[in-house]
Parts: sequence; structure tokens; C-alpha cells
Amino acid sequence: MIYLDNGATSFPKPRSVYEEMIKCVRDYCANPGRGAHDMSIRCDMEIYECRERIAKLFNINNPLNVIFTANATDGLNIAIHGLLEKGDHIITSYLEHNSVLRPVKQKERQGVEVSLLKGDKDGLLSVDEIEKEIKSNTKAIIINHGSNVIGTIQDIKAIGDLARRNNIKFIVDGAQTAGTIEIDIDKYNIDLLAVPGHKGLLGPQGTGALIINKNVALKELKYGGTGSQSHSLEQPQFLPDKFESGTLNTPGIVGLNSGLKFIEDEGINNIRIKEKTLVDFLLGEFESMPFIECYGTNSKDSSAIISINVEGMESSEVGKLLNKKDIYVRTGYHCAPLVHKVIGTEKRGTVRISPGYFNTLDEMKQLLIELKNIYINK
Amino acid sequence: MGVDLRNTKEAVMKIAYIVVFYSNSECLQLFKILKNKEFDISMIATPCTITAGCSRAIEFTENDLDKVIEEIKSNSIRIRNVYKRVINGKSLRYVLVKI
Repeated sequence: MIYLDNGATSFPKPRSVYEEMIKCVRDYCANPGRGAHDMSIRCDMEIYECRERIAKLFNINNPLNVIFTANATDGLNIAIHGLLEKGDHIITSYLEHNSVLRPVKQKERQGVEVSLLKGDKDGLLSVDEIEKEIKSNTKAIIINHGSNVIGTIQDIKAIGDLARRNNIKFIVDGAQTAGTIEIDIDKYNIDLLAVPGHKGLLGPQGTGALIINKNVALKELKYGGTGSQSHSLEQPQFLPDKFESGTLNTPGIVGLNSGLKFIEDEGINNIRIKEKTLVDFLLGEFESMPFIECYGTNSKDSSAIISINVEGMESSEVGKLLNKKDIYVRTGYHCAPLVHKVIGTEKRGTVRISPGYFNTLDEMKQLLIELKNIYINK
Repeated sequence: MGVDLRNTKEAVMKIAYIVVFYSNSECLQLFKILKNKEFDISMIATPCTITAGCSRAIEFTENDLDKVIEEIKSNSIRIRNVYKRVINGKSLRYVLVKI
């Protein structure tokens, strides 16, 4: 089996992720923050350690500004619905995933004005283009750091600087880059960063985080028990309790903590180099395969995601045939409808190849062989 | 001659202090800092006579009072209050400590 769908969720996870999750569920998984006995405290300590690791990875001082969520979508919803009000204006892009586009559409119905930018032929946004859209009521810029369809990496340093100069909140969707490409909240002037735990951070599904930079006022979307101020009927207003009602996903967070430790031990740059080597190899080989059409390859930098089509074939058909050979890729729209207008694949979708840290060069060679066979035998 | 209480549970309870927090996460922050510095502490449920709820507090010994307060200040941990546990016969009460 060759798994090449790490853009959807990373697989496999480091062995320690499985081991620590099993240990947690089997040995000490009480309710964190809801008791003062040793098992509950142990859970809390593990969760706190994970907050510390996330804070360190994204360079924020206070681990309590890390809010655990179920996934990146959850975090983006808290950010978008918690920040925006009727009469606000936001700037976002065609490259966004539906995790941004759908909550933004909902806010638009509620009176938020939306500017959608197309960028260049790879969806790359220029600071000038964004700056032209800024109005007196612009509240936020929401940008996908790395496209989940074509891998385009936005210059979030330059966009963050622009946002800060204009006193606009900067929301970053780090779904495809967290854990593989540096995201420095402080250096990039990011106000709100949403990340999944189950992709580049190598944790299990059902985990994610919203990292709230200081001085960002957000409304909570969810109310309930937090284990704090239980005498009060009002939702606590301090972090992380304000946004963490209900029992946290302790086994998941323990697994995420192990994934983060793995990244620390391996080094984020080494992970990036490994994945980039695999992607660059494929792109190089595709140049001599004229029946392969590649999308979004003009950017100087990209994440470990390639979108292709095979001449004369439906993307879904290619995926089906690869699946028969035990090669797992994703096909279709990838939950990002507008990017297909940028790359001209509205009718076809794409075949997305997203290798991860545990893939090998031999697996890439096998993929090339099977793609050739599919084209020859079509 | 009275009973020597120095190594009994009653004696330990007599000299205990507790830090009470608004947030369990801040309690954890201080707990971790103090544990790493090998303070003799334990995490307990906040007595409901201080605050009705289900939050946590940190219990420590009288000898560490000044040092714990110093750690709270130097690490900018937000706390609710520090209390001294006073036992008078069979009654127990918590006295607010000015810090």
C-alpha cells in the first residue's frame, strides 16, 4: 500500500502516537479539569504539556492562548464567527478551503462584506493586490498559508505586516503547513492561527488548535462546563476556558503531544526537506511525461502537494485505477471550489498527490509507473 | 504533657496554606513550576467554603509561603487568593492572607 493522501490526514503516525494514546486510554484517562484526584491531574498535565509544545512551535509566550479544537475547521469557525460583526469587511482568497469559504458565506448573509482575491495563475496573492481592497471597515484578512489543492504558499510575513500597519486582524489557516513549514505568530503578526492536529502535526483525528495572539477579542460560540467558576452561570472570560466548554479529547491530545514531540526530535526543517525532495522528484519526472498536466507549479515555493490530471481522463477515474493498485490519492474538488476557477479545472477536478514524511522515493517511482500504465491502457 | 503532633495528619493540616485560582489552567501552570522546583505541594479541590465550584487549589507548607508568593509574582500567575488553614479544636476555617 502506498498512502499519498497526507493533505487529508497524515498516515501513518509516529509509533509513539499510538503507544501514548493506548497508554492514556488504558491507564489514566480520567476527566481533565474536573477533579482533584491523581488521574485527573495526570490528564491535565499531559494536556498542558501539549499546549506548551504548540505554543513553542508557533512562538507564543502563553500556552493558555492555545485553544484545543476538534480540527482546523472548528478553529476557523471560532475565529470567523467570534470576530466578525455586521458591517465589517474582510479580505480572503479563491484558494481558501470550504472551512473558510462556508463560514465566510454565512457571515456574508449576516451583513459582512467580503472581497475575494484570485491572485496570479497559481493563486499567489500580492500585497499590493490586498492593499487595494482595504477599506475603513476592513476587520480581517483571512488567508490559507498553503493551498490544499495546488500547494501554493502565501507570503504570510508580508501579508501580516500589511495587516498590522492597517490595524486589521490577520487570520491564518495553517491546515496544510503546520508542522512542516515554520509559522511564527509573533514574526508574521498573526492574530489567529487555526491548525489541525491530524495532518502535519502528526496527531490523531479529532484534534486541532486555535492559537489566539494577545489582545484579540473574540466572542465564544459554545457555552458550558469548564471545571472553573462552577458557581457562576456565566461563561468564564479567561483563556482557554472561554472556548473550551465540555470534556476535552484527552487521548487525542496526548497523541497530538507525541506527534509534536516527534516533530521536535526530527526537526521541522528535516521534515520539510524530506517531503520537498519527494515532491521535487515527482515534478521533475512529470516534465518528461507530456500526458500529465500539473497545476500550480509556477510558484517558487510550495507545500508537499501536487495536483495533476492525466490527458483525456477524469480525475476520479485515475484515482479509481490507482486505488486498484493500492495507491491512495484524493481526487475531485478537495473541498476548495474556487481554486478550480484559477487553475481551470472546474469540470474535471484534480488528482491530488500529497506525500508525507514516511513516504519513500521508491514509492514515488511506483506511482510514476502506475500513472504511465493508466495512460497507456486508457 | 500534650500529644506531639509534628508527624501526624493533624499537624500537617494545621500548618497548610492554599492558593486559590480563577482558572484550573493557571493552577496547573503554578503547580508545574513549583513541582519542577521540588516544592512540597499537592493539588486539591478548592474548599467550597472559599469558592463554591469544582476548581482546584494548591496546598503548600508554611515554610514555603514566601517562596510560593515569589513564584506567583515572578511568573505573573493570576491567582484568586492565598488562604491559611486554621484549625481550632474541631472547627476548620480559612483565613485570607495578604500578599
